[in-house]
Amino acid sequence: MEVRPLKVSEVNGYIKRLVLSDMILSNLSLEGEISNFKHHYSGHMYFNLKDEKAKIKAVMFKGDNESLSFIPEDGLMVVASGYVSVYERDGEYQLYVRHLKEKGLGDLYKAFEELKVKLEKEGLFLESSKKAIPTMPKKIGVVTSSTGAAIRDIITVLRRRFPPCQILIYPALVQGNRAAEEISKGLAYLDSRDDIDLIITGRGGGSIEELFAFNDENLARTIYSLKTPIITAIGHETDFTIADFVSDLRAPTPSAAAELSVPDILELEAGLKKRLKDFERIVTETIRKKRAEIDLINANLKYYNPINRLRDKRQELDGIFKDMNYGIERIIATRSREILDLKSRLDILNPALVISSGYGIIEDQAGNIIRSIGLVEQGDEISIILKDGKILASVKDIEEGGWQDEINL
Amino acid sequence: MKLTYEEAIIELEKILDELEKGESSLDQSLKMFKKGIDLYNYCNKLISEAEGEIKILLEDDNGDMVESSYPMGG
Repeated sequence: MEVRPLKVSEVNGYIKRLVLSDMILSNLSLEGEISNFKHHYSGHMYFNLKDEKAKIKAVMFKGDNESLSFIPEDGLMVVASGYVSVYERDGEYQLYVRHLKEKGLGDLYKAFEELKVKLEKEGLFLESSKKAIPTMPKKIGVVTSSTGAAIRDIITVLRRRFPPCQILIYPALVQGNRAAEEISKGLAYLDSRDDIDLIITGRGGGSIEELFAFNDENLARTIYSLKTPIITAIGHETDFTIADFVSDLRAPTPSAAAELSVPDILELEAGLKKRLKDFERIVTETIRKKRAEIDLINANLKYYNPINRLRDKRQELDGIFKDMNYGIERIIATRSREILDLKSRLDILNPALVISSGYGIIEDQAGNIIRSIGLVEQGDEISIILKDGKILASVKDIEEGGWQDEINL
Repeated sequence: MKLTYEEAIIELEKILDELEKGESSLDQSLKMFKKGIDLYNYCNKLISEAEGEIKILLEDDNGDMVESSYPMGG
């Protein structure tokens, strides 16, 4: 007789019922170290609980984790209570955590803390021993997995930000037992070359176990001994490893390490362009200023040129001449007016006018006008000039006395 | 001239400042101007260099490190 084949969902449902009905699994308390902790944006927490040999998936829903008095994190030893059930869709069993208590730090975390304290005491983390990161490295050595996302991210960013930069990759395992040793070897090799200006080492995100190679003591000492500046970029922003503490610069991610190691070529170009503009502006301005100076000197020269002063003097003379001319003209005009006056006055006295009104002029033989009786003697020939001719006469007698007396009679 | 980019930029800035002050003689200014242009060209050359190579190191049979080109786009 053939058994009817079951559906997957039927089996998963059956197992779930079986598990849920179990006395122990339905209400238990278990201790372990948290790893791969994720606080999902939905508010639920997902993580693993583990001991040296095994791990179990765990989930703590939002409603349960809201009352937690601490923030769970990788490496933390906790006591979780709740129940085990099956997530039917994936056929996975997991621990549904209702309560979580802190028990103390996990072993890995303890080892990390102990090493950190030890190396810190030795002075491996001192700021003063950190080397300056070159601002424009010609060649960058990268120690990381040749196949991971980290190297691709680093190359992409370096190429975008500063294309002239050369990249030399030393492929190394970045997790597992041999990782720390390989990374150390790569770092020492790159450091022994004389063409590497900067080293980047790191890897993408992972669990605390996966990142643990970077908490190795020998690796830390190798990093400390490097002559070449080194940037570490291990995991995500929240992950800190011993290598990060001892390196010259810690970058939150491999992409960020690449960002920090080279300048942005676009910014450089913009900066250079601006300076060239400044240059052109200053040169133009300098030339303009010098020209203005020359123009001023030229103007001064012209102003103080003796020829100009001569011209000025000439002008001055011209002015004086004009004034003089004007004066003379005025004098002439005045005189002309005076002459006209005189003429009109003379006209009044014109002898012709006098003669025409019945007076005559008496002349002697020589033509001299006789104004007085003293100028003639008895018997002298005289001529009397009238309007229309002259009368020739001889002096009969001379009597003294004025004609005015006669008129007065 | 074996300056780093930053050193060259600092020199360039100094020259710009000096020129901006306008206290130098024309002759000095011209000399500075020429040096500034040289520095500018130098900086420009540094950032305009051809794309740098990407190489990956491999260990050969003798344990020596050998460089070979990195397969891009893989």
